[in-house]
Amino acid sequence: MFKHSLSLPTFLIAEDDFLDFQLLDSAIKATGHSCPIIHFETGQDLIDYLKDWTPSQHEIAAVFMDVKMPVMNGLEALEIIRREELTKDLPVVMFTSSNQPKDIESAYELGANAYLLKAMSLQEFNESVNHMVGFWGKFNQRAPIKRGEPQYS
Amino acid sequence: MDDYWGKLFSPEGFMPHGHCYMWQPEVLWSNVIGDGVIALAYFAIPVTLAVFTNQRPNPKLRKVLWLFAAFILACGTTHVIDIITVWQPAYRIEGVVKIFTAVVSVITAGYLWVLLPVAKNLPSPGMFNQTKKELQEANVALNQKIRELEITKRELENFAYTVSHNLRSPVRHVIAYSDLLTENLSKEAISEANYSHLEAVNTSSHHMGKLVDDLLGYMKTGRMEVNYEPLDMSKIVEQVIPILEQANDTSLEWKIGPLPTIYADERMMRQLWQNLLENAVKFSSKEENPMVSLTATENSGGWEFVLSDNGAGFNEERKEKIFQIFERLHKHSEYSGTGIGLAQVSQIVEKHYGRITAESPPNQKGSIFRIWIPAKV
Repeated sequence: MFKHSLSLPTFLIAEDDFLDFQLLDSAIKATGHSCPIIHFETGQDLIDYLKDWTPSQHEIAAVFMDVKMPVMNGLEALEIIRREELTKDLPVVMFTSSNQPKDIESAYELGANAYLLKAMSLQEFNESVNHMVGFWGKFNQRAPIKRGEPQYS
Repeated sequence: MDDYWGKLFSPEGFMPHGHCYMWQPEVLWSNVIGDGVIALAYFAIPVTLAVFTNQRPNPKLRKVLWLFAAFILACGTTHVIDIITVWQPAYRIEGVVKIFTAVVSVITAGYLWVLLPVAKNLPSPGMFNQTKKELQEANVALNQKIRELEITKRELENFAYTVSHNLRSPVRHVIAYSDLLTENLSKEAISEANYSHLEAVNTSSHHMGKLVDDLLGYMKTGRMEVNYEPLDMSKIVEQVIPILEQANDTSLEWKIGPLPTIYADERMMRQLWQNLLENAVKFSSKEENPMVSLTATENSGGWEFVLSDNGAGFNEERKEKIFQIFERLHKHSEYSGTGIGLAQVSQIVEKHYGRITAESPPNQKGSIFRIWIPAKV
């Protein structure tokens, strides 16, 4: 019975800015999903958690990760996630504060499944989160890695 | 005296100069050859001077060079006469030539004295070399200054960019959280006055958000290199229009003429039309039958795009300011905006070595923008 509650698909969020985390947290909750959410302040904290994680503990619906974080940034963490056998198929959505093609391209090249722009408008942000959660949460997707695979396989 | 002029060419009563040399060949010929060579050398000098003035014209020196040429020719002539008088005692004519030479010599000497201050100011080769050295040093210093200024400019741009980028996050939070507050609180719960204060915070935060994002866009464009490729302008405009209509929740009459394919940067051109057409929509959508037209004609080695609308137009007297950053020609209460859009348009046009002008003729409605982009770079 313990196992049941823990095995709910979970959203992992790595975001150093607490105000941004709160916005994402309430945007996810506003979609009506009751998935648990685990918050990490750095990429390193997330990677440390994933080291001890096994799918038997709980499913991971998706990882939401900020690009700019202290200790270990999102792109470095993404690289490690894609390298490890157990985590390489996890859906990863990157948070970017700019829509510069360079930033988005480097996220995709490292194997991100999507990117989420930290839009100025809360409405726009909530809509994007809604789409993301709807897709990655409901269907329990697995990440098909197309780009960047030869780099770290 | 009459006798002198009457017998000017007559040797009568004189002995040839050769007698003074006792017709000794070595004395006679040394004098004759000496005089001959001096005369030839003297006659050669004016020729050199003429060639010199021809190649290096100098109005200040022309008169003295003419005088000097006359003086040296006269001197040469006295030596020729000296040779003649060895055999022909033409001493009278010799006297006349010498008097003429004396007059020319005195005038030349006097004029040279007058010219001394001018001559003193003429740069000597040493002075010229010194000036050249100083100029080279100044040039090096100037290039150094330009490099320093370029570095300072880049640092300032980076600073402004970083500041705007770092402002983005707190501004976004103010917007989001004040949005949440405005949504979740009612006027009754916090009183009407407090609610209007909250709305003021919310409106300002949205304006600040737009300002920061527009400013970041402006600075990104400033740092971008133009990536030239053939671009079908009608395709870009066709893609921009529906986005604008949707965003502004309006539909107006578009009269888009055939547009050419030009060499330009795709991202920049998309931004240019987005800003220009957004302006046209913004300022004409309040009118009864809003209409925006865009045409293109080939013009002096490039393409001229003419964009006109029948909207509010602007005050012609202030049209110089229209492309300056943060300059707004309308009240905030009438039309919102950050004053960055047209500055970015002008920046993009400049990056493509083009030109842009704006006009709003007092006798007709709306404004006209003319954008000229060269066909080749």
